[in-house]
Amino acid sequence: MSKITRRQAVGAVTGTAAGLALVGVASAWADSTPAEGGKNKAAPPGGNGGPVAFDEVFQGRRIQGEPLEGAAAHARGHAGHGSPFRVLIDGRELHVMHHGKSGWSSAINHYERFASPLETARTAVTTLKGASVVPFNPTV
Amino acid sequence: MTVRKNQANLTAAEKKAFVDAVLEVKRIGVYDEFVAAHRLRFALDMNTGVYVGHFGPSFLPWHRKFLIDFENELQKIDASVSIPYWDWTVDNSVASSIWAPDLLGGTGRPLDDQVMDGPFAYSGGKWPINIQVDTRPFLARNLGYRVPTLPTRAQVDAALAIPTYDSAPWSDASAGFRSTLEGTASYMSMHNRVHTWIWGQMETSVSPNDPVFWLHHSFVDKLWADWHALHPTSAEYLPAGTTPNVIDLNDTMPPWTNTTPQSMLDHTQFYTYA
Repeated sequence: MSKITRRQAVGAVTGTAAGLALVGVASAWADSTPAEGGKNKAAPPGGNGGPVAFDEVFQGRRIQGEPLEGAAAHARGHAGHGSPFRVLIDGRELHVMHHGKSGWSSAINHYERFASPLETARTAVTTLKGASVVPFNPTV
Repeated sequence: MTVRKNQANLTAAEKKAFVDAVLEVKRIGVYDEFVAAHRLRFALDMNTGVYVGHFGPSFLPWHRKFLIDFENELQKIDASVSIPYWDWTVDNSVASSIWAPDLLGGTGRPLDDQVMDGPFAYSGGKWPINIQVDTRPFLARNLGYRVPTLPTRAQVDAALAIPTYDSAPWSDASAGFRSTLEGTASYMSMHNRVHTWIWGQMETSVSPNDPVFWLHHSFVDKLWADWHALHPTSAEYLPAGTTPNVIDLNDTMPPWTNTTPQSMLDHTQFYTYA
């Protein structure tokens, strides 16, 4: 696939509001290295689908994400704020949440918003500096 | 009567009394109950769709009650102690005295963001991180890493000038004083930005693991009081009632069974700000 920078990938999946929220993210990326061997696809521009699945190695950590469907999504009792999407960092679940137009966040980066689960996972990896996620979800 | 003071004005003895009380509340296990309550509230809010602790109008009264409860625990150890406030518009750099070893200690080391000095450094043995969302057992910070600056006085004044407390849809997409102060109207701003500027646990749902959490929220709470003084004819809290999935003025705020936003409006029955 053609090489795509992270900033371009974000641009492809964000609307104006989310783009504004990512100013700080872009500056934090300026001195980081590109993702290794990513095989992710940005959501089609203007598409109305949810975030797409991903599976890549980012800064030495395997990050995976997939939409939850059917019973798995239903079991989480999402009432409009939770996310029918599962993210793993080295196989351990990173609790992510979707907040409508303002974007995504996680238990690791709770006071920011991201354009997609992929950016949420990558930022968590950067934040952890080698530590592992301790899954916590009292409603599952 | 409890008087909350600007941390920059504390005497050496006052700093020591505050730190010693915090360490003792930690030692007896009570501190971690507060961290766990914050983590649980965040997770439940996200999954139930009722934003009680954050991203909704009850952000301010919920944290007011949370601080009152914590302050009561400190005062069981030392009745002279109150929660200082940190005016991050003034003491706004890594060199500010709040980060000195006689109060909170400084930024983390590059390797893993571990705080290495002050009373809460992991090496001191008194501040293990027990309530976690990741495996870091030590207090972590990276001051100014994610965002280079803290909110300015001009930004605070602009928020204080907003005459309306909050508005529909009563969320992070709302217009009004609450969402502007919380920092949800423009992410990486105001209250949210301060959490992110500090980094480490302060960026996570277990943010009370960093004692600066209390000083930060004491200032946020003071700004709510300041706002009310500037707008005495504005409703101090909204919405007033019958709003689905939103904490109204007289709704109970979990986890408490007898605390409503209304019951939190007059802070002077609990403490004042100096």
